[in-house]
Amino acid sequence: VNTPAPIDIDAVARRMTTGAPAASMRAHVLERLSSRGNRRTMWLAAPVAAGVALLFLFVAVLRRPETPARETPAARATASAPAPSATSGPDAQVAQPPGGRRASSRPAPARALPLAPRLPGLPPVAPPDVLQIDAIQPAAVEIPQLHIEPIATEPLRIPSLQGTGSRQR
Amino acid sequence: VTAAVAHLVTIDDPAAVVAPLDREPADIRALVDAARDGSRDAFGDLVTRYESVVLRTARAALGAHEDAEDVAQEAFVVAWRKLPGFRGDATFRTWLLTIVWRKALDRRRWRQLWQTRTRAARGDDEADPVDALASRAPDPERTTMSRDMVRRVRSEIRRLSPRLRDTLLLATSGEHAYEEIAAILGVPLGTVKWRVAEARRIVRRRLEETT
Repeated sequence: VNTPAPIDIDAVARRMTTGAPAASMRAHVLERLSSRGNRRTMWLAAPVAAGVALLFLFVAVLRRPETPARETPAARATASAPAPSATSGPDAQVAQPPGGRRASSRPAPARALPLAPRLPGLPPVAPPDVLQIDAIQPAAVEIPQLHIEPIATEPLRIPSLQGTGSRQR
Repeated sequence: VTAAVAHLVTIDDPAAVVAPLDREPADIRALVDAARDGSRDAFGDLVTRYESVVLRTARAALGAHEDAEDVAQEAFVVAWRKLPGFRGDATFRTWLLTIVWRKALDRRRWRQLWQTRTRAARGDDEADPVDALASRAPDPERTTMSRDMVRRVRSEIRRLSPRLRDTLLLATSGEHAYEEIAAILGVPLGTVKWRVAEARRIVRRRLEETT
């Protein structure tokens, strides 16, 4: 007696899905269509903007001024001393480092040379002696005088175009 | 056993999945063609025309939750985007309802996952994920059933497996023919009929057992 008929079950089930849609369903859908276009534009523009930003960052890192090497007291003294004149020879006065080793008369390099990587099984490479480098006196480079021969030019002759119409057609 | 039989019936005949569908009404065809050419007004007319059945289909999967309204709108947006690819193999209505159903199932899965995680985080007892099924509608007191019986029937419908419950709710919504339900669910027509009968039988049996 208490068991519902199939039609009653269907009636209850039907009630479980009833409900009128909102009156503004059409407006909301059309609004979503518009905003979707804007969103698509934004999604397309976002990667481009990110790429441009990365490019700027990359260029900025590449063009960043190099970090100056840590200056030794001798190099600092050399840099603060007046620049040697062109006539000053190898006898010019150069500040002596505390260790008694002669410092280079050249200004300190802007950047320290990178050390060679240490490979296992190979002896460490000793840095070159500054005195030996200073002793190198390369011969002066001779540049021969450059002579440029004038180029002979003739006036340009343009043949007449008459009589070629049938060929073009 | 019921689930196994349903599964076997579901996969038996792929050719039967595509049921013959009624031809598209001329006015709908004109609106679809205009919308495909980019007319939003025409698409708006299609929205007005189908909003009721779309919402009801979404509610069969999601209940009276506001998700159903949101999924209905989302399905229309997807339909607008996919409209150039609509070949007319099925009617626009069936094609649209298939989109709605997929969207609704996606939302239901997401909601169940979210609810499961929320319950696990709070340590709550397990609750029926379809508790949100429509219950705000007035009880069918016009029928001969008592309020208590209506409540029990509704409870037993909620307890059904998703396949049986979905099919029963779609079939009883009064909006779809069995052929259309078969197309929406992607199952043979015979499977739809079997699921509806099985759902009714299970609900009746459980009510008898608890009486």
